[in-house]
Amino acid sequence: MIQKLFNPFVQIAGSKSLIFGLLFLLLSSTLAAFFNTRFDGILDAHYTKNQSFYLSYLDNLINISVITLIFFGFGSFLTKGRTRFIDILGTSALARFPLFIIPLFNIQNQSGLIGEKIIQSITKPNDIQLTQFEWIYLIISGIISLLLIIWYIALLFKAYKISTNLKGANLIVSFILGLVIAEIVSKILIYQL
Amino acid sequence: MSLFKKLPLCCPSCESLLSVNRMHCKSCDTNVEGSYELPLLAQLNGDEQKFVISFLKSSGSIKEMASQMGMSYPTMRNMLDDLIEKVKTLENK
Repeated sequence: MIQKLFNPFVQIAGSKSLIFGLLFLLLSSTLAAFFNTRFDGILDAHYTKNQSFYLSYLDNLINISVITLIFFGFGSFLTKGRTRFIDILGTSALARFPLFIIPLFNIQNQSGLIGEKIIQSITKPNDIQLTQFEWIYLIISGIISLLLIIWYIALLFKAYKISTNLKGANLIVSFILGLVIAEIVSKILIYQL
Repeated sequence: MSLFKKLPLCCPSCESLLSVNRMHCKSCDTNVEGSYELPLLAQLNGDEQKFVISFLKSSGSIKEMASQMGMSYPTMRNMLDDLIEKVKTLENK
């Protein structure tokens, strides 16, 4: 069970994982539109106002395209063309499944309103007007969101590893570099388009 | 009670690869002594030998093996790649 949660790619990869991954992408994009959440970067999730369905789907389309192309580029180069595009695409798409939970923290704009209150009190950091419930909500949702992002990165690492069969320094350095480049490129594309 | 005996491949003392020193005919009780190197396939561990056999049985189709074993295609392909690397290392020893 633990292996299925942290490394489902031993059993499922390629087109099968692409189907499940796309279903989760549709689900997370739809929830993001309903609950005003933007996945504005491969490692980002921010609460916003009046999020459109078009932007929600576009965000995730950019995120999955960028990470796939960069990992496929690195994988193909380091394995001398032995990396399959469908494996990178399918496993990277499925790796995003934990993120569909994040928009649920913004039901009734709860997290967005807390965020607004914090921003308004930036000039007076000692005078943050949050109720006890809001503090607890902020801390718990923050910790869970952070754990979900870490889980996503762990899945992405396994996805890249199993799709390329790279080992040692080649694997770790190319993964970290790929992740950083993908974050920058996805961020630029999302705010340019 | 019958115990499953695993063929030891490495020396328990220095971990070097073992060689065959003595063979026995169960039919006529003849013993043959000498120094024989283990064939390449016998130098693979049990799981690797099972992998090679199922690879042969599925006519070299990794896709078919993956579906039989309930594993993904890249997992099986990676196992095969790792095995190829190991065989190459053993050949060069």
